[in-house]
Amino acid sequence: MEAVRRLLKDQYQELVSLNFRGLLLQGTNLGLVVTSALIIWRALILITGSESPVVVVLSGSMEPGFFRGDILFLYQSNAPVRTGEIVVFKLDHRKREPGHDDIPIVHRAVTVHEREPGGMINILTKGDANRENDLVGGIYDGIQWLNKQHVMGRVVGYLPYVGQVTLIMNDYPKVKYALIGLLGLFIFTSKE
Amino acid sequence: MAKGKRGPSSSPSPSTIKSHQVVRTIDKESTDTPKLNLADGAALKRALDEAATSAVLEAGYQEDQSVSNLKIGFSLITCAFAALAQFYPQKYPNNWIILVICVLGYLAGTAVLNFYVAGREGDAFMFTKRRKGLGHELRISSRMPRYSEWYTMVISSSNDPNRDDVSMRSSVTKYFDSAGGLASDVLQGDVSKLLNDWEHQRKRL
Repeated sequence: MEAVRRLLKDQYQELVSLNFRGLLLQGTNLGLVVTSALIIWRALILITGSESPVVVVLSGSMEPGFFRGDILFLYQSNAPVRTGEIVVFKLDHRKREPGHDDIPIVHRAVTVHEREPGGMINILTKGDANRENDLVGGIYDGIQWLNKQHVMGRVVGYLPYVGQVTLIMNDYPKVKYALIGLLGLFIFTSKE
Repeated sequence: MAKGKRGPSSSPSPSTIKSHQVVRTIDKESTDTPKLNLADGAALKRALDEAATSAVLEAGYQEDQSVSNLKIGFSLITCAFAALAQFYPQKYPNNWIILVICVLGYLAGTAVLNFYVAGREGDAFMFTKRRKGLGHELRISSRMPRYSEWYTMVISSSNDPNRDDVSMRSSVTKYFDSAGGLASDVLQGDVSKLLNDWEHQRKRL
């Protein structure tokens, strides 16, 4: 504990010893680190074709395959969704009504109707651990089928447990601010 | 091990050091007192570089900040690409063209920045402007291999490849006492001597 306090004190001393030019140099350093993370995210969006290429599982509806806190990697392609595939979808129309979220949901496609070959597809999904499909379960909230515009991507990979950090940061925002603050302080005062 | 002498004759007069020209505000007290970890080679080298910078300034040279300014400029341009991508009002997939431009721009900016730092700056930690009567811009660099005690400082011409370098090499044990304090006046003496070597070499040629 003493070592931690000493470390923080050293970094703080570093910080206050900088004059304007030093602040500018360290500030651009910090800026480059932060922006590199942003750019990596944008590049992932371009590569995977999905508006949110990495998502965290928020509910237990896909157990025992995916648990709360797992990280999923998505890939969007023009190939039509088929039954058995696990998709992540977002219900845009829910956002327009107050009090409803449009958080992404990860479930499995259980029924697919294709009107004509290559044409519009209607998809029905169901969480593996749920008793009913999403239409009967009330998740669709007004529509009867999912279509291509609702689907954010197919799950192509996953990392277990790693998303717990995100969940903690969501549930306790102070942890998020503290972590970001500490990270910023260390990057800002690092001398490389 | 060094035993530094401190006295009014060795402290800088306020007019020779302009604090806005260096990164840290220079205070004779604070540069002498922080005790460094003698096993941390990187910290020792940094401390020596900073003390050498103030020694060169004290010898009457002015710092040339154009290299540093260019670095800052490139960094800001690169960050601007990222900011554009982040704050563009359209969502994906409508904005994919902007995203491609910004990602490529960012990659190009980062590449330019790295090449510039590697090529122009290298292991230099300070550039100076011409001094009256001497006509060269200096490039002061230093090297200290990992786990080595030998600190090598090189003064070379910033823009004239025909000039030879002058260098000096000493063990860090010459500048640090066993508690980790830096004897900056010993280093200052060596830096002055090296600057003299450089100036006399010029006159000879």
